Amino acid sequence: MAIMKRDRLPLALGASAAALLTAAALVFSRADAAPPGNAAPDFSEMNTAGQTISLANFKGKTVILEWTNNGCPFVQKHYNSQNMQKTQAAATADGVVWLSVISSKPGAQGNVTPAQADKLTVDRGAKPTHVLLDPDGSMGRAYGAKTTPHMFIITPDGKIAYNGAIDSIQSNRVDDVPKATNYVTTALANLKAGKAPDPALTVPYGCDVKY
Amino acid sequence: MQALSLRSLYLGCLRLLAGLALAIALPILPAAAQPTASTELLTGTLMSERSAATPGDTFIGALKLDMADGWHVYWKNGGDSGLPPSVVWANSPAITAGDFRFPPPHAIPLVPLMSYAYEGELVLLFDVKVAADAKIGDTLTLGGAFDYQICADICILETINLSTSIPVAAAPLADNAAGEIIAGALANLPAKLSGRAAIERVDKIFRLGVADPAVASAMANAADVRFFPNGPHIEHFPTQPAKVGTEGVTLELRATDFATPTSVIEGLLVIEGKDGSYRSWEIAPANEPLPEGIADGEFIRTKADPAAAAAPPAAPLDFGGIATLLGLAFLGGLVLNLMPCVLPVLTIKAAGLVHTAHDPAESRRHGLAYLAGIVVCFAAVGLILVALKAAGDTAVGFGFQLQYSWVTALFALVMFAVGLNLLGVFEIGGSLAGIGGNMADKGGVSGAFFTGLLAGFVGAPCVGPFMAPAVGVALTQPAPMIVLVFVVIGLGLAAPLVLLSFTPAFAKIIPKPGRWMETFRQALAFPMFLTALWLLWVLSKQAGADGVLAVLAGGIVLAFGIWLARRYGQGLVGRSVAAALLIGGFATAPVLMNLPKEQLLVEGSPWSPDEVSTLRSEGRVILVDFTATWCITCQVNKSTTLKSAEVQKAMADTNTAFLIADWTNKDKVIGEELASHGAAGIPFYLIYPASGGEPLKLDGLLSPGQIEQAIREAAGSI
Repeated sequence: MAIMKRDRLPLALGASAAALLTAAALVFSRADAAPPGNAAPDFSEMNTAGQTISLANFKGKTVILEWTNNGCPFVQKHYNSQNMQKTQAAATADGVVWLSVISSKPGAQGNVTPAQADKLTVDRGAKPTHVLLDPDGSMGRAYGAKTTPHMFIITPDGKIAYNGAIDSIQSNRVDDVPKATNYVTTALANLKAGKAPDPALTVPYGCDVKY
Repeated sequence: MQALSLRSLYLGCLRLLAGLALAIALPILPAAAQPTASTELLTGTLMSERSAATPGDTFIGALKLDMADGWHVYWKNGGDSGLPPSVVWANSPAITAGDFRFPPPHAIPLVPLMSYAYEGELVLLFDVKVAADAKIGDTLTLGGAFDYQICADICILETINLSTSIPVAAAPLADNAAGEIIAGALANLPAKLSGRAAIERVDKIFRLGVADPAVASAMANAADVRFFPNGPHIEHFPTQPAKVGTEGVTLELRATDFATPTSVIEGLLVIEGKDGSYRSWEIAPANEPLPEGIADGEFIRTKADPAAAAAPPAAPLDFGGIATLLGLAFLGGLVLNLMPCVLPVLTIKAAGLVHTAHDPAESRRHGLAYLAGIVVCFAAVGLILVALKAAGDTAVGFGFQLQYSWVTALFALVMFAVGLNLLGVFEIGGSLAGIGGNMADKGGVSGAFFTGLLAGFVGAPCVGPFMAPAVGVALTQPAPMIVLVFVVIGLGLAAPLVLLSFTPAFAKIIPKPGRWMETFRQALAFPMFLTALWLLWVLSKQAGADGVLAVLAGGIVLAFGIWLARRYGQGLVGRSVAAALLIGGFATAPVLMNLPKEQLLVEGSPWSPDEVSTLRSEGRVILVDFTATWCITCQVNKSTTLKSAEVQKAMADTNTAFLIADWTNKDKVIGEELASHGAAGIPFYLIYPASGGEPLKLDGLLSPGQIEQAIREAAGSI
């Protein structure tokens, strides 16, 4: 007993070990991801009308998330070819909720004001249910959104059904759009037929999200 | 500051120009084709090592891209985003050109994403073949439309049309300038691995091991090492914790959702030398146990973590920013009190408070000591991080240390020791938190101090995810600010109990001290043991059975030291021995886990009847070791005899095959084989002579001389 009382070595050892381990734990943090089958992370972001939109608002509905950045050439490929608008129109006509999400940080490419975002929607003839502004990137990080475009489909019971690219040909050429398989259209058709999307997970392509 | 804004102005102009150039140039570009073309962002040059080629000739062509500062184009796998350069060839019919061969890329972080790309200059090589029926005197065209995605903080897609003329002649003619560039690029291409690569998959962690002499020698002077996957199966962004050994390197990779048990993980191993060299190997690891000698010690990166290096330069915080940061830190510390890992320690402290509650002065002293303990712990953390940052070891400072098995091991041992302490096996500082100790004993104060340290310590696993944002901001700040933030987190953690210890009214609502407190404290030992158990489970995934064994051995040494200290801790000798054992106990696990593996001349391979008949047909001497991990005699024989220098040399000299029949788990074939030789159990050994005939049977304890002679006799060399 006496040894412990006088010998400060264990105390010093304990202190340094404590400090080391705390340091170790402090640095431990990781980005989330959203694999198919998992519960979709909840979110709460402002739309262009200033309303707060949460995943909880759409219980019982299929929800599509589209990460976008109007300055990105890959986004332009799918808007200039009308591919994105057609996919949006078909989905929303079917009762699906389409949320276009902008996670560009302030000052970065694609970061727009609500008014600019609305103008873009009109100019491009886009048909999203809402455009969500996520300038702090919290929603993008929660879903693990990597590129623009990057697509997610959430089932009516809040599970990720599809995570990945808009279509099957990784290129910047508008000519490739008609040749490619539109994964979102395929996944929606699968879900409608009561099947799991196939593929449910693909590698997205495009510009990096401007976090 | 000025340089920074000039640079952004410059980049802004470039972007504008690039946009304009794109808008104007696109419709015109396809017209003229020449070997060199420039955009605002890049100059592309098409070249060939031949200025004249013969019919049927094969040679190498190259596309050289010189990028503007700050812009990059992508590797064949762009990482989290980005497509590689591609080409639509428009060659003469008599020319065919192959796929691009990519040099090793660099990891370019765009937090939290990672790009695999090239900055500055890129030379892409490809094979060119001239048809055998090409006519001498014709001039062939090599060229096409080259597409690429070029990005800085924005991405631009460009196409350039390049072509070069290659006359067909009776004798080939070299283009020396191009040849030099092509030779340089060839030398830079990834090498084929001559050694062995293997991959082990445990849950979401992949361990990639490479044993190869060239890799091992490059690792001896490495500043950084990274695996670039061809596919999407591993997370691109995180640092890859690495271990090194005399034979090679082991990397820890994080699986993505694309990874399945059968997915093929291939790619490049890239080692950056301290001298700036950049070497790479193509890796196609097999799904099998990792080679030995590649994980003897942690590899410490001396190159700054690209992820950390890319963090924006610290903008000095204004007063409001500082207040917000410190406020957040304090709040974080407060909430930490409610975290499950801190709670047990806090209850101890609370119980201690009860004990001193009726002596306000003593209560205040204990409260302050506890505060000091916590603050010291957190200040130390801050200082360590500052030191790491100053040393440029950002990868070590901000990596995933909890993935390092020795940290887990040490943590498990500390939890075990804390549990023993709570059970009353030993006391620290006279009385931990003043429970069961002499009230007048000043040691109670150091006990409270230690409780503070402990609270900071066991809070560690909870702090990380919760405090990450505030700590992240703090780490970009100057050193005093980092330490201050940590001290404030500590203040927040300490606040509630310190306030209580200064509140006399608190004493009235607490039951009188008594036996219940002792019972309560002892009961708290079990959450600690459960934590230790959980850590052991984590360790079993990280370091396998050997790691767990090392920690358990450390636990025994620790317990022995504690017992010695209690029993004989009065004298100087007893005290020193006990202290040595205590330190030894904590050190055992990390040391055992990092012991270099023994180098044996003859490694054992698994036994099977088929293997025996194959080897016999080759006329080899065979030593079969029927063994099991639970058979102590077998283990003794293994270390004293089978691994002895004499026996190893005898086996090597006679080219003896060493087969191990491992009976640790039930095995019908081994059981039947033993029965057929009339063996009652193990240890049991068979030595088959090279000349054929019945094997020599041995059991019981062996001696090196006996086995050496038996082997040499079996080989017919005696």
